Amino acid sequence: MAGGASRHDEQLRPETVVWRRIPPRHFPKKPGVERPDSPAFDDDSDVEPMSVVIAREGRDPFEVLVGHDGFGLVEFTIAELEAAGQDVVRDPLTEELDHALVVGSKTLATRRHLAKTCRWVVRPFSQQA
Amino acid sequence: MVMTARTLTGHEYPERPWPAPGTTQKAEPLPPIPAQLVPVVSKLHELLDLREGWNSYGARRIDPGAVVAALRILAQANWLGPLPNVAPTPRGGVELEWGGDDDGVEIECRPDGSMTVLVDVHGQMREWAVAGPDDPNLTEAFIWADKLG
Repeated sequence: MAGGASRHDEQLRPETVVWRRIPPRHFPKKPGVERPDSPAFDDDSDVEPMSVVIAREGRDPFEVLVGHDGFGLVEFTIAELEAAGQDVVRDPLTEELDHALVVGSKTLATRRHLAKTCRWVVRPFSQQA
Repeated sequence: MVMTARTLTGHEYPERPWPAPGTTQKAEPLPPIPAQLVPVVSKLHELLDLREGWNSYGARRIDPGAVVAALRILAQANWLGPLPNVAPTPRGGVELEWGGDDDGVEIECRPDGSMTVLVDVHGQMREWAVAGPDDPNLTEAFIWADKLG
């Protein structure tokens, strides 16, 4: 499935941004390290791909963190995920209509690459200026 | 161990008897853990307290076997180098990580007992499976871990 499913979805363009929550356990812990831990970008389970939320225009990123106190938020573009061999497919949920899945094999190298590629949208408190 | 030049038939393999109910079996002891690893032991122990769903995406609880495997890796190597970062994985495993934002070493211990090493140096990532804590293929990972801190 890798290599194009997201391209077939007219509403998901390469520049479309998606968000993923980062739990405190995956915040950077070492001085000088800025990025989250690689395991933050594994599939949700053996049968569930990694979840993300499509950053619909005008949506407040903090909405995605409601009920998840202390969590951070990072972003990718779909182009960045596809460059890592991942496809993004819409998977609307009752509680989150912008929910999507990042489908594709996630080796250790893929997860580390994603950790190095993502950008903080809501940074851990200790990293805020 | 008995060495034989021919293939054994199924009934020739010695069976390991199940322990009788109410009896105990001797567990394989952990090698001694260097005192300087106490902070890592403590962090690994904390991971066992994580509840299901700790990452907000339905993550599993951390498997004690994965924690023990990570401890065995460090103990077997008598690791006295830089202390690794310890991170839980959504599927119930643990990761040991050395290095920084760019270069680094990661060792993932999964609940099923499998382990994978990743070395990311000078923009090149290589990963390989290791058979266990005493697998000689861990040596390269430790060399880089020592360098990268």
